[in-house]
Amino acid sequence: MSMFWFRRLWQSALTLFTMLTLMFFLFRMLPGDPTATVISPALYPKAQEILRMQFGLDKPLWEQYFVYVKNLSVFDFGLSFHTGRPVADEIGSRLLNTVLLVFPSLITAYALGSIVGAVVGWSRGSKTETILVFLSTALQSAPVFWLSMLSILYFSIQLDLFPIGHIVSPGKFPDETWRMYFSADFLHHLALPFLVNTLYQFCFPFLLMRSSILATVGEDYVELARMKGLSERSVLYRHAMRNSLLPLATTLPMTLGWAVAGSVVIETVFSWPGLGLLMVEAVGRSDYPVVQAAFLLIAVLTVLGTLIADFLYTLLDPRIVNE
Amino acid sequence: MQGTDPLVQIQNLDVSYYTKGVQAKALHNIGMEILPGERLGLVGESGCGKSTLLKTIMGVLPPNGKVNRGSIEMDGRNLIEMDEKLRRQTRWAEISMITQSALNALNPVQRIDRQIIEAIRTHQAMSKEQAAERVSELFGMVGVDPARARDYPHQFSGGMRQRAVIAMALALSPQLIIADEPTTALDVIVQDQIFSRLRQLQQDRGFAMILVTHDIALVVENCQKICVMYAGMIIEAGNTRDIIQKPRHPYTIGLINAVSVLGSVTAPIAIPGSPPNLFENLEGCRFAPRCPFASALCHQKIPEPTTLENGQKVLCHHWSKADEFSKLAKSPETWMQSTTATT
Repeated sequence: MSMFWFRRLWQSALTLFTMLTLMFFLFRMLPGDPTATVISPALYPKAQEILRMQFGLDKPLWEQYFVYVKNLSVFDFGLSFHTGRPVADEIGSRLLNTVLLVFPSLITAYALGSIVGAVVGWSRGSKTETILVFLSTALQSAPVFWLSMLSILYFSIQLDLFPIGHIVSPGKFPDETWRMYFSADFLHHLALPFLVNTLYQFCFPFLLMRSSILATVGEDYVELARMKGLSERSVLYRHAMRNSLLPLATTLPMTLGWAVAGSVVIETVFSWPGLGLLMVEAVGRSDYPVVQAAFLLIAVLTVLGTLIADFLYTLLDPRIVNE
Repeated sequence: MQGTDPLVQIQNLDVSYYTKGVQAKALHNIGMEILPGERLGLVGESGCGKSTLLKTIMGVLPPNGKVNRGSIEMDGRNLIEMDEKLRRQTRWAEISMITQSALNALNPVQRIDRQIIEAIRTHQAMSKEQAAERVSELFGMVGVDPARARDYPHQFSGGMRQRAVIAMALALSPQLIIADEPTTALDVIVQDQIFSRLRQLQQDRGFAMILVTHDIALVVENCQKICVMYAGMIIEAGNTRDIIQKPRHPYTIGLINAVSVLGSVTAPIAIPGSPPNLFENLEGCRFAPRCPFASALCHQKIPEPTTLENGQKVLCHHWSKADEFSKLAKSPETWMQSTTATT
């Protein structure tokens, strides 16, 4: 492995460490007493004392921090203040739900966005272009929760096409087995949040690809490709689009963390039991271990995405050499 | 070469660009012919329509460019009226191009061999291996180590890139190669190497060549014939030797005057002023506003092309007084007058 990648990994580790330290202290500075939700004030003071000791909350802050870091180094995220279950279990199942919602829509949005953006940018000045650019700019500026609520109002309530929320119909899979994810009921629940999220995520790659293509249209190598006798389609796909893909291919991995974090809103509106909803609940309960682990996960995804973007760059553009 | 049928014949060509409904007459009544195996120099300053003419010949005018009149004939077919699919087949296979900036003309993220192979396989049923062999052969012809064919453009020096672009132009053995300012970005030594290689290839393989440049000295060195363009019109054309010795158009006289000669005592004389705005409705000779010898007639009427005995063509009302003009043009004062007169 070259010096460059060694340095990049080292930097990433440092970033993550800074993140987790900041988060540890920031959450503890927030108003709200975690003990209030875990430990009922109605308990005897003695019992409260014992519980505090169990969670280590009686120790000074710096000591709590060292214990936290020590446990993290062996991937022990602690126990949830709220449920008392290990945080890893708590987050694991929720993460899967988020991934099932976010990743397919992200991939669909980027694939569609880049193709439509390229075709639209290629035939600059068309009516379709004007309409699509207007629509996607408007969509991108519209709040997602508003878009989600409108779609529930119209598709679920007025047309009664989709359920208004949740991952499966209540009581259908009482023990939440794997079978749930392979049921038509699950897909039925997934459809609307998936569509809204895809539509929302579509705007950015679409606008980016369009402007990227516009910058490529006038390039000499595009004209040369045409002079070589290639068909318009080959010129677009093999030369213009291939080269315009660069900014897109590198923003996609970088949005990974952002997409998971951004699912908070959509999950809340659709009562989708994903990581986002868990985070909202956990912040409300001052459930430090869960909140910290969830935010750390987003940080890890972001840092990892940036690393992937760096790697993709060297793969896609031979002019970039990381030494 | 007398009596040979021209390889490409351009007649009465008018091309305009339309920007928000406003017409810019980029080319007006262009007529020229290229014989097989001939080297023709197309000279003119920036914005005179050289590039538009090339793009029209290659059939890659931008969407706002329109051919309003005229024909470009090759092997009895009119390229202008050809169906787009057939037209595409003639590109590169029959007319190819050596582009101005080799760095921008090569796709930066594709290996050079792949870009040449793409050109070959678009037109010929050839396996990748055969095409790759052809690339090695071409690299040998232009003097670049074939082992470097799998490099990316940025790994090449300026001269090598230009050679690679020449190799690409030769790939399908076209009958006509258009070289658009092929060496402007290179230093004189490399420029000279490239041109001697290009002349040698041209003689060996017998393709015709149009050399487009603003450097009249380059044309004198490399071309048998010359066309001088000004503001979208060909104002003088003929054998290079005839035109250099006896230019008949004041603009050509001015262009030759403007060439600096090393070791010469007299400084070169620039032509004052700038070409007309092609968006405006132009009356009379387009050079008249800058011409020190322009008469009232010149400002009113576009001159008709005149063909002289030696085949030289000129677009000037007063071509017969050219000898006198040439003498006067040697003094810088002559040119000063024209600017004071028009501005």
